[in-house]
Amino acid sequence: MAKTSFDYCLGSADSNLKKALTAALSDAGFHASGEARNVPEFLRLLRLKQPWLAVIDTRIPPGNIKQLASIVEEDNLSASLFVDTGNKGLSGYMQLKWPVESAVLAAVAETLCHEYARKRKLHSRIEGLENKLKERREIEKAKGIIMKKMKLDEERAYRYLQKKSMEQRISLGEAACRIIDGSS
Amino acid sequence: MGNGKQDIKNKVKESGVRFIHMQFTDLAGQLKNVAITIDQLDKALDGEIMFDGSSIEGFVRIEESDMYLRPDLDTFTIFPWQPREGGIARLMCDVYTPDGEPFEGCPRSQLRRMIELAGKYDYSLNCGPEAEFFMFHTDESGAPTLETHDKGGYFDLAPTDLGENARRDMVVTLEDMGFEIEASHHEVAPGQHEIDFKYSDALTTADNLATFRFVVRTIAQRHGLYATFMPKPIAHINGSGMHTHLSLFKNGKNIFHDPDAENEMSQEMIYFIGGLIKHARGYTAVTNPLVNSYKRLVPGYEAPVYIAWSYRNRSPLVRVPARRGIGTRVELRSPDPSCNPYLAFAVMLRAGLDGIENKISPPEPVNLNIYTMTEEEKKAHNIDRLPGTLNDAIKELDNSPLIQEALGSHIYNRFREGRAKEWDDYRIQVHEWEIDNYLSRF
Repeated sequence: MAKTSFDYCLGSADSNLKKALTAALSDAGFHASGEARNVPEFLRLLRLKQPWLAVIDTRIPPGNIKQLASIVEEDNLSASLFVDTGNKGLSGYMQLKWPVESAVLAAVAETLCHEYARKRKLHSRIEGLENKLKERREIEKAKGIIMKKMKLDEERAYRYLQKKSMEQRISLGEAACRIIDGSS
Repeated sequence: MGNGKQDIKNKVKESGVRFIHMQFTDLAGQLKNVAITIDQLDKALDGEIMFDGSSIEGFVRIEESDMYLRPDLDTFTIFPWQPREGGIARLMCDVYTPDGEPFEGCPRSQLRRMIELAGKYDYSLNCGPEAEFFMFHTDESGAPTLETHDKGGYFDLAPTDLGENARRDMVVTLEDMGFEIEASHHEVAPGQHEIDFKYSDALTTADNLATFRFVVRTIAQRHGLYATFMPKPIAHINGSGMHTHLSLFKNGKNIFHDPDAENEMSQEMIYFIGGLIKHARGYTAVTNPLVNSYKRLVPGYEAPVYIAWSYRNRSPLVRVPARRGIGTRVELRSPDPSCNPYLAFAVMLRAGLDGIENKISPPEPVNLNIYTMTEEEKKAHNIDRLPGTLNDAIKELDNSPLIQEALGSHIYNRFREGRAKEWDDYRIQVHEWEIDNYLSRF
């Protein structure tokens, strides 16, 4: 298998497990970006290092594994791979029963990283679209204000807004915001 | 503003909300909630959600325990975090008795009563609190420690630490919930932060504060940190205060501003300050309700100790910021963020209102550093001091019929009982300081 360029953070208090996971992931070309022994420390590590992948022992103390899983997912912190070492409280997330073959671990880890890359791309696209939608709404609102205030038709109101944007060297959306706030 | 029942149902449907938290606070200001699914939404909007009031500290005894939650529809807010199980929204509620009367032990309803009292004069109180808090690390079991994550200083610009990231996330979350954030910065002590949101009427601000504390704690936890509003977690460094800016409006105008008066301060404003000064010892148990609150109210750490007022000096209890016009206001500097915001605003409003009703003139402003004055000088300036312990503060509350009235007899009795018990628990403990200083010497 081709070596990857992804990095990972490891969350476990079990030193034997950490050793075995680090060896397997290192052989597959993953870079280690840090490890933590408990959930709060692991969350701090993920926020600091922003790795592609979080590899998490399901028995990491103090035991609120479901909460950790949902925070990593909701805040889009990284891809997550849970190594099931006996905790039964987690379902609906990618888990591998320990012990696991190195090749399987590497293949799953890499797939998760690629999926996460796609998810991040989609997220930033959605964010861009949301911003554009918001900007368009603001432009429409500002146009309405200009039409009413200056008694202009729609096209002229738009041109007025364009002129403001060029004069002040700001985006059309920013010019619209200033008109809505009454500062321009 | 102005949500109707149908508006809320539409928002719930559009946003994929599955659970509603019906929120209220106990006497200590702790946020409580009854979580319901959207199947119960109609019942909830009609004020028919019931809970056992005897399970809430300071509410009622077991034989009178049925309570109803009547939601304030304007407070409907969707939490920005979206769990897999579905979105969560909240509604702040007033607590009602089975007879359909506002429960006299409900802090939110009590603040409403004080707002109605001010409404007789067409006054409405605006409040702008500046709540400070610490963020600490947790240990392996998830319990908070006193270890901080940074060594940042006041207004540090560089994002040097995890706390900075957590605070940014708090600001974004609060903005998503409709808060207008005015400032957010690192405070004086390591690990200490402040986030200020825009002032509003007293009830909205009290709701916002309850939500604010909840959001700050939740986001800190999501960052592997622990946020606390404890007033003085570490001795010999600055504690966490909640300076509160207050102004009175009448028919949309700030009546504290009078362009023709000396310093542009209206007579109402002067009397309001007079009320805040006169009743300061009486309301301190409410604005500073913990044993620990009084470890903050000591000289040397920017917290007030003396009952005086001033224009710019930051050592007295009441400061008048330079801003005039619609922003004319007084800043009460003693409250800390562990207080129940509903009760704190109720007593501040009642004290200030009494100043106006009875034309209470405050003493002359003190523009000197009070900490460097001798006892004689303080006496000459008529400067008294705030209670030094929770026990002193309880005694002062007992001597203040006006503040008792602002709390209502039910809340006063239960609040007093709770505070006195806390003082007694503390008093009979043997503290580490005593061991360190006495064990080997005697």
